[in-house]
Amino acid sequence: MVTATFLLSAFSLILVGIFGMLTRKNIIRILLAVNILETGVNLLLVSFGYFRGGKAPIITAPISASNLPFVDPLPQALVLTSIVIGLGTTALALAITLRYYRRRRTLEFEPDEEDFASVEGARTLMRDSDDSTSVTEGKDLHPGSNVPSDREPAGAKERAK
Amino acid sequence: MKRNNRLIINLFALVVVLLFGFISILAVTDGRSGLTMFSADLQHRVSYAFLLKSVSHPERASNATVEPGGRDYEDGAANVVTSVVVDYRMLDTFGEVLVLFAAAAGVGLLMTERKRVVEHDASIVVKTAVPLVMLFAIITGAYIVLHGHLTPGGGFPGGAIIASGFILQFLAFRESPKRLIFKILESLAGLGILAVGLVGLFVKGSLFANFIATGTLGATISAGTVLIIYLLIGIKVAAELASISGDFIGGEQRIGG
Amino acid sequence: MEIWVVVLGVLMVVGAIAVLFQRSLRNSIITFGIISLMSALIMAMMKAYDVAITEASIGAVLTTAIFFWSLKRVEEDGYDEKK
Repeated sequence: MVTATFLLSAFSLILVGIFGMLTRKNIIRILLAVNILETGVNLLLVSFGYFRGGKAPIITAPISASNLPFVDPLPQALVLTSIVIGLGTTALALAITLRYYRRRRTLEFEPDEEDFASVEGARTLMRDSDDSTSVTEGKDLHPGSNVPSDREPAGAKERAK
Repeated sequence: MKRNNRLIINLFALVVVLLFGFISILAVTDGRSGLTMFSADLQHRVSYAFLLKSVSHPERASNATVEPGGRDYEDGAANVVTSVVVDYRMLDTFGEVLVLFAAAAGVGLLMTERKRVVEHDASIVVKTAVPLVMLFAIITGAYIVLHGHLTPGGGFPGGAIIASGFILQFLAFRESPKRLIFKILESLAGLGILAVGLVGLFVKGSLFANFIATGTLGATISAGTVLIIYLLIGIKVAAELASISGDFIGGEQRIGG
Repeated sequence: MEIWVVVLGVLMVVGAIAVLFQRSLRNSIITFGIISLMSALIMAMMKAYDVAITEASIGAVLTTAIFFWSLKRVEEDGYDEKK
């Protein structure tokens, strides 16, 4: 009964995470739903190794082949890796979201006219976009080509100092 | 039109999710061939060999005993999860170290600069308390890292706790949070992990093999390369998480520690 | 002892649904931190202590903090969620 409760709650978290990924518009809410999905998957993996009445897998008394009162240590080892990788993925996704907000001025996930206009219209929009929020902003060094107008070259020069 | 669209998307997602849940539960509780998900006892699982420390010689598993105080097991860590993560499946942990490194490099590359905003200093209570709390955080983190092979913990949560100590310093004192020393320390620790693996390759024939004699099970200095690798992983994760958090908090780059 | 497992499980699922349907982003991130902490508790109940301390220190503390820092940056650039 306890094992069934663990499994069911982990599986429900996975279902809620999938639903959130499919229906939300705000990018930070989508990332929260992805994180809920990853939490659910980790819980599900650990609960596959739970035995009723098992102990934590640390050897404090002599054990032998007929006396193994532990829970399964292999899913725990896999989940340890998965939690840390989830943090790395979330950090990188949030860095990309900050860039996206600088460019598009919105955190919604809808396409706007920029995606449907012609190439010439998109170039005009990019050249006139108001990116004057950072102090060390460089000018648009490549007018007429599709290079994004954040001041990447200035940032690279400053970082290589 | 917009409202109608949202309702249709929500209903469609709900139907997809419920269908997926229903099919998964049917597939998992299927007991037609006599075996269910819980038929395998610990004797029949892979962890049987991990717990009895007889992976290289599986025929010895049925009469092997492991006890604290015994010497020269295949892998001398008392914490079985640590021995699986750092010794038996070290290649997966090395892949995870690489993924964290790529994430930290990506955040450092892609981060935007902040506007010059006027920020108020932290209050005197915070400024007095933070050095004391930082001391306890770093000591606790170091304890958790160093005793990874005896108690629950290890390099990953210990490194996160040490990084939390440094994050407190960034937030309370407004010192420049992007420091070069974090990145240098992280790279050196990563190279150290690879060096330990290559030494194992040349001495014993397989990457990340345990080439130091594993001592007594349960002693503080035991378990060969497990202690060294977890120490390096702790330093690497602490430096990485502090540098990722420094990039998110923002500030000027400061050359030198 | 079993009743606490059921209570925690139900609270986690209700909190997960609340994360998606709350109006303000700040409330969503706080609720997500609470879900992470409850998941660490359930892992400790399953006698997986390594995983519990890793999830508590990385999932509940650092991930929530990173979400808050990026929300603060986005609001500095002029994001207003009541628009």
